[in-house]
Amino acid sequence: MELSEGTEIKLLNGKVCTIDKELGRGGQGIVYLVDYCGGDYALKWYTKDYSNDFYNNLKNNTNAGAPSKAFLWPLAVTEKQFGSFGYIMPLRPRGYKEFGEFMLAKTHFSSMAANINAAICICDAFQKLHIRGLSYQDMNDGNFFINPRNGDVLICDNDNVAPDRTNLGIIGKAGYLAPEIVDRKSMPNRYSDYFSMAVILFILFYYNRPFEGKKFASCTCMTEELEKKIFGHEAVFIMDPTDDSNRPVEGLHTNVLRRWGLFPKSIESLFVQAFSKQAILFPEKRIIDREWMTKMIQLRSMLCHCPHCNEETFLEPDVNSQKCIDCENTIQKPMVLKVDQYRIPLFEGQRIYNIQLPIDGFLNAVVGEVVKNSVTGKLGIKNYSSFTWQAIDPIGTAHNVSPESGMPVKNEMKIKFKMGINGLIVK
Amino acid sequence: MGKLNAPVDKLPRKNLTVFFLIDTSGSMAGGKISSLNVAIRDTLPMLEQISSENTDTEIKIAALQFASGCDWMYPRPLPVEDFEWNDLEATGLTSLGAAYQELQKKLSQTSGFMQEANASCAPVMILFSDGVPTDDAKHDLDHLKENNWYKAAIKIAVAIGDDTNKDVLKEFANNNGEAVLTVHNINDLKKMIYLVSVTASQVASKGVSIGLDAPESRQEEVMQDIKKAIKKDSSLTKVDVGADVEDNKGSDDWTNW
Repeated sequence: MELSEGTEIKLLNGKVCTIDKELGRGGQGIVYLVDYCGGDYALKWYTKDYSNDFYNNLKNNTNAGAPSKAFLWPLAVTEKQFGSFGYIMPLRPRGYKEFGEFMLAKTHFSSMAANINAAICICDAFQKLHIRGLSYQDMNDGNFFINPRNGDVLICDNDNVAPDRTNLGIIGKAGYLAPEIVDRKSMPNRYSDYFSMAVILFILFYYNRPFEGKKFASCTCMTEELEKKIFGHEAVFIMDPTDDSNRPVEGLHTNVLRRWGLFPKSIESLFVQAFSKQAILFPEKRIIDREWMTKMIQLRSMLCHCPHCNEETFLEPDVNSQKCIDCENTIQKPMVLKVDQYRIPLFEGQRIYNIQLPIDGFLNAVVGEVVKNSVTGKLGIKNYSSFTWQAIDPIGTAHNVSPESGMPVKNEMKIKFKMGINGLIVK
Repeated sequence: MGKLNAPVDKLPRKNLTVFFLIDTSGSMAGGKISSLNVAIRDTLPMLEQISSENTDTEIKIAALQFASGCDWMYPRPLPVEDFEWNDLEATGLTSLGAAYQELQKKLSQTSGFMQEANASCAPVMILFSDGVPTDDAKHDLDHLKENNWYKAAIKIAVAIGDDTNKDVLKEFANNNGEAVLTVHNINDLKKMIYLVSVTASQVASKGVSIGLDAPESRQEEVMQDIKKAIKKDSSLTKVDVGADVEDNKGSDDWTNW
């Protein structure tokens, strides 16, 4: 039943929360603003019937705590009362917009840097979820709140999260669900999550859906059977280089037609691989979250401001004479720092992140930044970490680079960031 | 602004047409038709909201009234945000057959009525009637039943009062008696117009649901949700769900207007 203002709801942790007002409702239940421990929180209250297994799973997830701070994770589960139950979660902070608002062009990222950061946040969050042996199961555009200014992501509806291959009856959405789930041949697991995540990432960059091309648009009447066919094992990626039967339609799928080609080839190949026929049919052929994460972090390093027009453009580390995608002027190939699996072009303003070395720290923590000497005009790397690096020049002389000091960017220069973490600058 | 930050277009969405098929025969005059006008006006903003927040589907509206003849409110389905309801007046006979014929005509490939650049969802068809057809509706329905749009549509019929021929409505709803709802007073009529239109639009506009608990079809999902909502709303106890005689537990009271 629905809850009225002032109703006290008992929680399993012995505390209570008090209903303030309704914030919204969906297929599963109603979300209320509640007072909990003197603060404002959201209570999701189920209006549909859910099993004991579902309730127990919710309790387990709550006890285990959030896999990362990106999840608006259940904080406390209610006792069963008033014929139902629910859970408390943090409220969406100000400044975060529904992913749907981006898709409907009601809001947009402040920059490509923010856009890429959103992709990194999504990959990071799901990687941390999957490491626990859990899968999200029902991933779709309704689950994400994104800050358009910086790309920070919050993930809601975490009540569907369950151990791999355990499905508690949660319904997913065709178009996001992996084909084998649409075909009802498998139970959701992290491999089906990988597929859904690829769909989300594709929309995040190209603003069209990966399987909605000519085939989809020409379905005069989209029946449930047709929809299951188009998103099931017969799905065809709109940019599949080996099958042009489902290409984007001019005038309809305008965004992907404009944006495909703007991103580095490595990113396009990644999507081609993620939605290849092999990956559609065989879950183990899918791109796993760790690889997405690496590729997105590399993409972030390839984004720069054109030295001629100052617009954002991409600079691939191993390609000579590249042109700005806007002014089309040639951009001189910068030197590259090779560290771990990354190749970081060293242009002014480039940041080297903890995660690239890799060392512990927040997702966006920075160990160093490429700066330009105002007198000589030469590039150097400034140490923003809390520890001293060693810069070893080509003849083998070592120089200490203490925090807040810098080192020159020179060919064949080695950087020993920490014991066992070495980088090499190359032309 | 650079190419990477150039404005993007709204993602293309599927089209969902919600058809209101409305009996405007003489017996609807007075409280019934005026409440219906008010209720649909009240419902449109909610449908507009559903449409504006939906990343998959945009809702269009088409309204066909039938009395001694039949007439579309606008020549084509219009996006719900552009749809302005013109109040209907009730007079004349109940040419339901003519309405079926007109619907069949417009739902054909050649008419262009449903022609869109992108895919369309199976439509929603909601029939409101308070009487007995005065033409050969059965014959025309048989013809309409061959239409693929009709076949795929989510169909619900609202019988306005005890004088309605519920068998006729049941036949419209694929002989699915459950999809016939009977109201016996003005308040219930208003509430049901809202409930049926909103529920059907919500279900029809979202992507296909998959899962162990997923209903077999959208028609079934709509009816499950409507029945549940009726059960939960203590003011709707007089609404009958089902087309059979034993389903009728209410008694008409059309005085309250």
